[in-house]
Amino acid sequence: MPQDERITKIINEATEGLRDDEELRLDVKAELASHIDDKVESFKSEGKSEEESVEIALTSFGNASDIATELTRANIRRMKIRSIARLLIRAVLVPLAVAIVLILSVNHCIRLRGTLAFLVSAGAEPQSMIARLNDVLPGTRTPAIADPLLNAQHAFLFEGDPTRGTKAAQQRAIWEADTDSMVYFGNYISCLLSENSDPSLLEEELRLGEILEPDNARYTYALAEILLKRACQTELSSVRNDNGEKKNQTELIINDRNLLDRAMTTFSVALSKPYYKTYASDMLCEQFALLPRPRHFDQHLAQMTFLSSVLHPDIFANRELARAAPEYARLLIHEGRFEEARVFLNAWLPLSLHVLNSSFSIIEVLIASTIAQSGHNSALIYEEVGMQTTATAVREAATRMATPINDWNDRRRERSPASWAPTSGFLQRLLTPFLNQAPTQEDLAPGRNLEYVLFEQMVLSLMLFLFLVLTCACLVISLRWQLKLHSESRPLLILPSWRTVVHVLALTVALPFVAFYLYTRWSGLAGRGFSLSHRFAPVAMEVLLLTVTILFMFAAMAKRAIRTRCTALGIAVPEPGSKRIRWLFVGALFVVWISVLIVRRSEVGRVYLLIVGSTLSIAFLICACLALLKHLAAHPSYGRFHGTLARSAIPFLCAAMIVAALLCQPYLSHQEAAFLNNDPFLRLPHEEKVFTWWETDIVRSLKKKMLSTAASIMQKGPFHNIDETAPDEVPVK
Amino acid sequence: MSFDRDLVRSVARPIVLQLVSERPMYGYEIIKVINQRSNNTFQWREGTLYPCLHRLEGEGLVKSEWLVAESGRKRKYYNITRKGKAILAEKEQEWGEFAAAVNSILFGTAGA
Repeated sequence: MPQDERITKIINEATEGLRDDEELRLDVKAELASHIDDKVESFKSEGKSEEESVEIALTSFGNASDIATELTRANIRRMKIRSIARLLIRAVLVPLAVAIVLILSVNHCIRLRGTLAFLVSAGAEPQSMIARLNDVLPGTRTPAIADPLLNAQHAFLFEGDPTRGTKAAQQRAIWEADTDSMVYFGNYISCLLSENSDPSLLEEELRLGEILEPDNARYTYALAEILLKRACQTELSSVRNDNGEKKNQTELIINDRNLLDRAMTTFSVALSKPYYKTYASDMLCEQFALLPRPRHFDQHLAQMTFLSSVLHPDIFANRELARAAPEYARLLIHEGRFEEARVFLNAWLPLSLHVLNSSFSIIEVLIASTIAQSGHNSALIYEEVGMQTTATAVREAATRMATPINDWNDRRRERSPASWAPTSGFLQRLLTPFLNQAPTQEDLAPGRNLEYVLFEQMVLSLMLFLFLVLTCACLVISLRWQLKLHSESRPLLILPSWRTVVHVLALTVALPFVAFYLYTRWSGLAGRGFSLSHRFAPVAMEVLLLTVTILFMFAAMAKRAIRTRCTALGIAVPEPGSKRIRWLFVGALFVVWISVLIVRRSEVGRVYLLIVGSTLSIAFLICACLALLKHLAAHPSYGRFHGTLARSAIPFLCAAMIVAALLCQPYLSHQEAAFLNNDPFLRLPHEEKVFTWWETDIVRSLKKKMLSTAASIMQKGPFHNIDETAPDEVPVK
Repeated sequence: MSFDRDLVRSVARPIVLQLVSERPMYGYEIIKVINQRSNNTFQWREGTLYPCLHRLEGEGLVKSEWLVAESGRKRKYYNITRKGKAILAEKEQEWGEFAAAVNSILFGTAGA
């Protein structure tokens, strides 16, 4: 019913003082109008005419300006509070929500980029994993990147003095700060050896090492290898023996015989030293003691990459010495110096034991085994000089030393990872082929669940980003109507009651998330006993459904709350859409949820999920675009409603983003840290003196077997004690 | 009979709180009930009721809700809050003691 102009005028005058709060003013206006309408109806029911009734109602209303004064006084406190609330929405709620979403999204993107890049490029070759880790995260050799909280004092133990020219010089600064530490000196020597350092400097520092630690063979081996490199070149070639077996043979191309003699004399000195230590594991332990346990997967990957980039510059030098030794022995025998040659013929065993004793990574154990294999070359030479018994003993010993590695390789080839592949995480699938025993389900669970948590974090970021996009769309609609409409009918920012906000957020944000967590963590229906890659299609469908459900329910409930308020305030509201269609959509969502639970384990299910998922995504996008167009291109008579709806939805959206982020992110972060901590495959040397748990397990097992074999060989006595003499004439070339 | 404005204002709060504590009421209904119960001794107008209602709402003593009546008319109903009930109990006791004291002085009786 169109309102009498006199009533409109008197109400406008009575609410003049509330002009600063348009929503409150409209509310009071509607209340006064309702009051006058009731009054008019009452007079009419007493038999008075419409005109008479209005006249009496207006007369009895009293003086409008007096009422305005009273109403303004009565509402001044409320207006102040509401004004502060609006200010808080504009200055705190919206920026806070946007900041939270952007920080979370950017943070997740940065972390996921590193993680995904690693996961995508790591491929299916476990052997190349460490190399690929280095490729993907090249900067992580400096773990300050892995942990930005590392203070300058701690960073010193990683970077040394960054002002110095070379990496080795930088690392030397660490030792200079504590010259009693052979660990720091060993670390400096590792850097020096790995760089193409000045040979005179290298030699000087190695000689210093010999003075500082005379019993450690490391420096002497390194010196021998430097001299050997200058004295000759070793060339490896494959030859077939009389039985047609393929054998590797090393040939020495001598540049300087005197230097070669010096190199091999130095080598023999090293062989007689009591121990060999590179201190790489000790340095790692000291460095890792400063690093906090990784709380995020990317930090873990970075630390793992740092571990994998540990320098082993000695091992290949030692292998070269092992290759050269039999050939040098051959040379000495040719010169009739058989007794001198024996040291080099038997050098493979002490050298292999030196390397093996200090090894803490697989590569070192493998090199120790390779060194032991050069015993076969020595055996050949023994055979050539007619010392068959010694040759057999040496060959047998070399073969026994290689047995643990060969057995381990055979077992790895025989064991199919298929049995645990569906229940293990991606990294575990890369690492488990190295293990000596099949992992248990308890071992696999943390790594598998970790992938789900990482995926859920990514989904949360995407969902929050969608909320942010919706907020931007609302801003666009609101601005469009603010510019289009004149000042009297511009869109309002409705302040909903806290009960309405709590009601909407609890039902449409908190409840679905809690239900999803209960479903995935506790119900046993979500099939989390299988890995993410094994059930990616149903998991992707579940999170898609969760996103659509939350967005649909949130949009429907927030719109309903704002629409009800607009109706109460007397803002022209268009007819609502068909309830039947809405319920049809709810029904369809429910059916899809149920069908996903039913079909996800069958092969047909994947096709079904792909079709339903694509349809749902496309339908959702189309609906969102249509809704945007509908609100932008509505009839101007409803412009105030559409503008108000969009403007007032922004605080709802921002509150939803904050609630979703605060509800899920801390929980997911906590789970990520817990799974990282509990995953035996990903344990790093923060407490124990180990490499990663999985590698240490293998190294310990192989070392134990090889050392036990070496002990039994040594028990029989050195090979030169075998009661066999070399012939006077030596037919060796 | 018209009453002193300040006197009316001082009793308006407990009266409105009492009425909305009985059942949710809208503005016009409150005025009608007040006039009826006072045998038309009180003739409250909009200028008296609504500022009082808004103050009470601002202080959290009453809460309002727009509802559509059976007649199809939308009206703003007021209802007392828990805080309002506590204040009403205080005001009732205060008014009882105050009225008894005034009656005692003016009329020499404790009752009206």
